[in-house]
Amino acid sequence: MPHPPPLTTLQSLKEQQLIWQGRRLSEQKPACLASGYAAFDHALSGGWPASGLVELTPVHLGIGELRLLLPVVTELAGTRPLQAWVGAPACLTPHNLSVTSLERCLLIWPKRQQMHWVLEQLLASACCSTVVCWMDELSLAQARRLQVIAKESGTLVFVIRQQPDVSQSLPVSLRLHLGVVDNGLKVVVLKRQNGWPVAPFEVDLSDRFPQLIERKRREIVARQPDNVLSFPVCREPRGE
Amino acid sequence: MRWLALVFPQLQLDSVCPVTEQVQNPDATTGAVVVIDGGQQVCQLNAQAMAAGIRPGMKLGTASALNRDVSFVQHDPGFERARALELAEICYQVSANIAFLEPDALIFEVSGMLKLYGCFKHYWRDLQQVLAAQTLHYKAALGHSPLAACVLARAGFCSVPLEQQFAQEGWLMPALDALQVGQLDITPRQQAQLERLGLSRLGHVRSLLQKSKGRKELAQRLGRELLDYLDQVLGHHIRPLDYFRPEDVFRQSILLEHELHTSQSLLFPVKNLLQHMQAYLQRRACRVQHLRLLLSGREGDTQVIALSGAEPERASEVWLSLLQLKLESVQLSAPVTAVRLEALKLLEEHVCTQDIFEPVRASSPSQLLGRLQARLGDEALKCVHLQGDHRPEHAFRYSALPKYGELKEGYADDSHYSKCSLSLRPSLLFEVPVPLSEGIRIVHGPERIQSGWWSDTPVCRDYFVARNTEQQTLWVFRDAQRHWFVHGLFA
Repeated sequence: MPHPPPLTTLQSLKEQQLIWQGRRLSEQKPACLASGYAAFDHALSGGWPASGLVELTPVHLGIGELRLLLPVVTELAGTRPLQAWVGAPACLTPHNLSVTSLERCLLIWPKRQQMHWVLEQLLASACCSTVVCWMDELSLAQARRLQVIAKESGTLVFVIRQQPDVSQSLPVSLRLHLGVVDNGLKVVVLKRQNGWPVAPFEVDLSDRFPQLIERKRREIVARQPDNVLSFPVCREPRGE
Repeated sequence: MRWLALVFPQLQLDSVCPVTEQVQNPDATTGAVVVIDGGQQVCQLNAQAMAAGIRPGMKLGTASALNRDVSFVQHDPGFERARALELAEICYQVSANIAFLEPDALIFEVSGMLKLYGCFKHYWRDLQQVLAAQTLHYKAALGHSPLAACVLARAGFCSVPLEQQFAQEGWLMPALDALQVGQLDITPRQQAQLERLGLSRLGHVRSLLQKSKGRKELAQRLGRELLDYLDQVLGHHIRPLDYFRPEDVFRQSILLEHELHTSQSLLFPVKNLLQHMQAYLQRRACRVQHLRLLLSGREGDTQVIALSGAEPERASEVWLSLLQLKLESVQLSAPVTAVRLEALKLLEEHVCTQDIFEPVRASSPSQLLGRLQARLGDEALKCVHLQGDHRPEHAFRYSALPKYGELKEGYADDSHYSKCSLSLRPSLLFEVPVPLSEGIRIVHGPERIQSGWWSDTPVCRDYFVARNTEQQTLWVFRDAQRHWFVHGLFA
């Protein structure tokens, strides 16, 4: 539809950047979001990307992949009315989801063929601060589409894939392989948009979740010297 | 002159054969339609029937002897009542205080509306416009009491235009006085009573009632009831009326010309209904959250499709897209001949605000939830609440329908629980514990949970955090029989 003349003038002024618009204020979002783990932020020069798809491929489920996400998910929870968890492999317990904002959590278990549609709706609505989804099937075309919508709506999407097709290279913002080390995760960056290749690095999860980390017995004893009570012995009365 | 009466003498006939048809060929003897009442007597008839010599009150046999081709319609008071209700609903846009006096008469309180319209002329013009769209016969009259207006209208007192009637009051009393007692809405017995007293016109009654002695005499002879009625007609006292209040529902149905066999082909007729609903809701400044679509088949069987939005909505496009999603999963049980749309609960509109500087035009969360619910069903969508229970399976609860507004209210409870139950729990919990079948190393524990002895599912377990050979962090427990199970994953 052709614009009427006055609008064209406005348009040209806008193109010459002679008009300042208030909505640019919120466009100046940080390019990166702090992950809450110093090693991670340092290696990826700032942390998670602000929007788009992040593909995580842990060697097995249950090695601490959600623990890696929780700080950023909790941090972002306040920015938008909802956060979505799609297709979890078991019951998601609320204790670890996001303590401050349970009423924002939306848990969805769609059928396999509906998964893509659900994700598109979640992203297009721009209501979700983060979307975490577990899915194995993701084609190149689907990933590209989701990536575009996620970027447009400024949503951060974590896709956790158990059996990824290694040869497939999806158009995602960040692709990480997660392995296990004694006190946390070993992160291999397989793909990173707008950045140099990064050598594999380790993330220490023990500070935030100390009970879940296996320690050598000696270390435990060394750290907790005071929890052994000495057997009470009879003392002589004072002052004599 | 506070009251305006509209009387619809042939409400059913006007719905059966449109007025335009009656007007176009009044002389044609074909197409005669009469409405007959329970006693097989003609009570409503169109111009064609009139031309054939049929008169009101004739027997059915006489009427068919006069004109063989005359078609009969059985009088249906229920239908007329519904139609009058519909008319009241339509007139309610123009006039505030409307009352039903008799089944086929509407009373309008004029004086209150004059503040809005300025003069009676404008008010009457608007009302006429609304009525013109309905193509029906009506008689109108003004009066100083509701019953007087009604009686005058029924008597066909139209010699003076309504505007003049309103301007001068002098005509009213002579007109009332000239009314035959037979024109009043009284039983034949009461009419005979009056006539036997020599009171053939209302004027005679009025002059008697003005004298206290005459009034006493009349009360003795006629009884309280009739006297009360006459007093109301003459405006000596006016009983308060029950004004019409539109119901807070929307119901509309359409008959389809052809039977529809596929659910997708329903969209077109329903679109019309939804647009009507939108216009209706727009007038009322309302929205609806739940709709029902009743699909009737030829055999009278009805299939109900319930449609729920997460947020009150009125735009027909939104509802149509929801319906489209819903219909994908609906199978028609029988070919559809009629569609009826019902919105049983109208909700007041509330305006939501949006940040002017927000670059991404976010649709509201409730709209999103509405779309998801319509497509996935309630089972796939959950929200989670914490519960005060030590048993891991009962420490939280999934609820089916996350309603955005309601969730916020429950917020205080949840935060209370979350503060006191921040113990070590896995993020992924298996619904049914899996027997442990591999070697593990204990990392943390034990934590004994013994609870629920009062319920069907008592729990006595020692929980440990453990790692298996694949370095997964498991939540395992040992029950009272010393069997080991995996209950969750620390993802």
